[in-house]
Amino acid sequence: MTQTNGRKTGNRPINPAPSQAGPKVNKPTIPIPGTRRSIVHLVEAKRFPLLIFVLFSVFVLYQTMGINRPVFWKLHDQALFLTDLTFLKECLSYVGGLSVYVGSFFNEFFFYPWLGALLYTAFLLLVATITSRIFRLKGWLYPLALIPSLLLLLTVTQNGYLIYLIKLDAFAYVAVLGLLISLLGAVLGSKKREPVVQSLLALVYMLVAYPVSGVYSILGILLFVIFSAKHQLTVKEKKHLIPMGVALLALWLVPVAYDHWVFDTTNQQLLYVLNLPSYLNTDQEHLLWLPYLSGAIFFLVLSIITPIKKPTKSTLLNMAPFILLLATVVLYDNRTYKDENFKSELRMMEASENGDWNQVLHQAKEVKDEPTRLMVMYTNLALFKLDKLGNEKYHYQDGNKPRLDPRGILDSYIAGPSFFFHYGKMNYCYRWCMENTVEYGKSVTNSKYFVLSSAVNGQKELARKYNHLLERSLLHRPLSKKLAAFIENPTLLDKDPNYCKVRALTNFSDFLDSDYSKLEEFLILNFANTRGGPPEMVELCLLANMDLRNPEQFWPDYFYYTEVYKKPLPIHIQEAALLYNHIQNTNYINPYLYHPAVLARFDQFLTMVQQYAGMPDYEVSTYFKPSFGDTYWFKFSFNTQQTESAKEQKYSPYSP
Amino acid sequence: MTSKRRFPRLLYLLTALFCLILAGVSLFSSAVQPPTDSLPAPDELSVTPVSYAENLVIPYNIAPLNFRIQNEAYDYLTSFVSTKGKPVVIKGNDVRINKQKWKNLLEANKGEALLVTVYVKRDGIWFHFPTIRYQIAMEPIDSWVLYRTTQPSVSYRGEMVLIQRNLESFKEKTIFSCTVADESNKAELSNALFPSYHPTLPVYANTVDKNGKLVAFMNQELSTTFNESASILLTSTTVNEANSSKDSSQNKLEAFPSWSKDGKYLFSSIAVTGSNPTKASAGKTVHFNLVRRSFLSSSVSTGQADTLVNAALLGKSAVSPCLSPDGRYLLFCMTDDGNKPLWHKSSDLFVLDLSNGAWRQLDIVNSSEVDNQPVWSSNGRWMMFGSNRTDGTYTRLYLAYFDNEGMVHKPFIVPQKYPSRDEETFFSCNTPTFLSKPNTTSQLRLLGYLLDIFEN
Repeated sequence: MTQTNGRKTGNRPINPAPSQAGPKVNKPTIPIPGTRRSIVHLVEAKRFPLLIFVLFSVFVLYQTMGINRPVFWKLHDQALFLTDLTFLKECLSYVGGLSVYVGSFFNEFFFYPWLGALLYTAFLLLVATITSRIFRLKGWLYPLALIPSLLLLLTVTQNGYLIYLIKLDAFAYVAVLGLLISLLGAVLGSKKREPVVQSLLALVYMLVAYPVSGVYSILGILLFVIFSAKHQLTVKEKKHLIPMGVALLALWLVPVAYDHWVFDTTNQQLLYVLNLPSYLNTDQEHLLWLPYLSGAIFFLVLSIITPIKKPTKSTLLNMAPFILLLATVVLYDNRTYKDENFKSELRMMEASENGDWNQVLHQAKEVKDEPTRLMVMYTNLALFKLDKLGNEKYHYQDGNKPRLDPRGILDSYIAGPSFFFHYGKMNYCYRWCMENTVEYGKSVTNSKYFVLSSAVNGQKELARKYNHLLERSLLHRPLSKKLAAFIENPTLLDKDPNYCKVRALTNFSDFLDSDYSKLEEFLILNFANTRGGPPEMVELCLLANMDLRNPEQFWPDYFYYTEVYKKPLPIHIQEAALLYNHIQNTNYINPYLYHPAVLARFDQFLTMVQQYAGMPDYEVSTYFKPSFGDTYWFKFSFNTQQTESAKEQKYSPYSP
Repeated sequence: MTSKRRFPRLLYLLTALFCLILAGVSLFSSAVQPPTDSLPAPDELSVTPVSYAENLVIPYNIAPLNFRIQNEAYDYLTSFVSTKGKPVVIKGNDVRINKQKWKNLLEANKGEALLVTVYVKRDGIWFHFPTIRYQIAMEPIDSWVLYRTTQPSVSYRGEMVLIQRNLESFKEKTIFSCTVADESNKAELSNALFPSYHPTLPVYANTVDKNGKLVAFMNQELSTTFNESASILLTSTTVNEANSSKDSSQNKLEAFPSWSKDGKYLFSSIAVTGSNPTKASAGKTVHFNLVRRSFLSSSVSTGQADTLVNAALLGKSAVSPCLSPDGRYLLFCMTDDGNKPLWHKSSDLFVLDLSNGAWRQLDIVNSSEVDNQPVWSSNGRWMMFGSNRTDGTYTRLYLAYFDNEGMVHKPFIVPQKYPSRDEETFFSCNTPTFLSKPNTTSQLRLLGYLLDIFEN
């Protein structure tokens, strides 16, 4: 009873004076919102930790399930967890592999965004709870416990396009699990034990934690040393120096010993910093270490200064932890990658991988900013899949906004396999799957396109080998079953709404040469130089030549299309034919094949051209855009790939 | 006191229980017998690895040829029977043989046949597949093999790893990984491990481009060196002398060096690149011939090239020569394409009989996919080579017996502890070398590390 009361008293945070001072009830109990006193009162309130805990949970869920959902979806796609022994053994063969293994397991749940977000939030809250327990961060100090979790979240949201390039699978969970292991070091160090036992514990900790978590064990053993040192200062016995000495020796020698006797693939220069993302040593990427470094420093400082006594008087000092948390929130906001195009690309990618082409178009319409080329390509692919490319291609915003990523990542890395597959270039699709897998490890998307491209190419054994990978995964067995049917009978692809046009595009030259890592340019040039084929192919060829403003190569495909297939001409192709016919002063047009509205509009266009003749392009385009912005004539006449933002290189992805 | 009394009693009880379990297990295992009244199976036997379903010649010291039966059935039994020793019977479709029992059986039956019969139970009836015959050769194979793993990508090389594998067991160890190196020197490091060493002198041969830079992946980098030249660089580690091959000149590529066992000759492949070939046309215009040069140890240099196989006349390329220990046979690859010669499906294995200059294709070992990089065992009775015949992409190592008559027998994939391992891994094995004893270079790493620290 006494203990309970005592605990309650201990928890009751702050200035007990008002409640104890019965007669002094004249002081206002409800503070005026916005005043300094109101904030102090809030911080000192009994339920303040609970309130802030709930707020933090909502914030993390909003980040993971809401605004950063596409990022977490991509995280799941990039790390494939396999349920077999081979994968476990593979993971155990390098330092930190076990945390990658366990992390990949949890990472897999981002496949269901709500479940993944809930799990990840639970882990961040677990980190906060353990931190508050170990360092006794209660009441007014509680905000400090949330700082590490916020920094962990930042390790994910700060990356932007670098998530494609980080060579550490499931890095979001690796950091969380690593930090939990670090905190275990603090727990072991904080207990008072006999020096021999404590020394043994330090050694065992390092022997277990280093292969599991790499660099995080280094932080853990440092926390262990600090706690041991504090203990030594209180007892002032020399024998208590032994555990510290053993811990420091273990810190130095255990990694060396593991490198020598156990692991064969360790870079000795990185022996003490293994299991971190592969950021480069460049000015642009230095700041990405901030959450890692500040997190480590935070724990080291905290372990030195805790337990912290509450100031005797209620002062502004009481607000310091809260202010520190707010500062971290500001840092989080400041360092979170905010380029909306990055997330739009990811949303389009997710929709296209799910075969939801209407969703891709919906995303394209939602875009407020100038789109990147990849977004335009996704839009065109979706239009092609929905048989709308020839009619609606120029209804969507065109653009060429550069990506602000420090390494200039290429479209081929991001989406090469997908585009090459859907446009029937199987060898290139396979090639980019291989490049990406070799460089960045196995991913769900690459595995899928490995299977599909091998199946279409008739390499059944190879397709089965890759499908076996998905078969062994935790959550992608249904996909594997679906793909297995395509392997045995590739003609089924023709009946699948996602892949129905693919095989029709494969009966053409697919000799693997260099694509110079230029995805869109290669595809356009390739189609522009292809002759004949099924209507889908001829339409792509016509549109490619329209992109290149190349009437000479346009006309053969045009005649092939109108005379062999006798299909109604798509609107944009009608527009191009009218324009080329006019420019070249030829008589290739059969007006009966044309929609009267297109013919009438073209006349209006020509009238307007004459009206604005002699004026500069940039000025004229503003007059033409409202009437003809959705036509090929506008695309042909003016460069619709806006370049303004390309010139504004000062734009930062970290600012809203 | 009570606890002290109880403890030994508990110990006795546990021991008795353990013995009982042991006896039960041994009784049960000895009770597994192949069925005597089985019917011939209507379907064909399908196993992974496929090559283990063939009649093979195997060395008596090879690790168990574990395999997985793929045929659908309710139950499985596989018997391994020879003239001497106790037969081995394995239950289940995952046929993983006890290492010791396998070893005893093979050693007791050198020169004899090992008969492998697979039984499957369907609807309560046992069926058997045609018996497979493994002929156990009298000659052993070298105990160790060293090979490199890479990933078959175009641009990235991934993590090249050097692995040492015991062929008598499944023990393997990574002895070098390019992950230990910086990005910039990974390729050089990788190649530095694979020069052709002179058998007796401290001299080694490497392929270098015109700037003297090591060509790490001759297959891959040929396309980038086509407009230049590549030659063989001989380096003496004692006199610190390095000489390029005699007739290295512009528009000439010389690569794939390999010494004769006595060190008197250096075999290699030479191609004339013509004037300024493009990458795309290189495959059609550049062809390698197989040549032999005498080695002059006094000057650490080689003599004029003597053409052994004029593959260019046939519009082909002959590469990757490897001379048998007795100096009579030269294994090599021949392919249609001069660009990345070892990467093309047309790459097949050939043997040249130096006693009469005749060469022939080794049909029995070749497949429709890539077959390349053959090497000899130290006794000249076994050959190892790489092939991606399983899936057309990932190269695995195969062994084949080469008999006294110069005839080669059916190849089989290097055995794995888990039969599905080759299926589940995504790397290619290449540049194999037989070793009589394991390499211990990794042990020097700790010493080097500590020395570095103390020196600094």
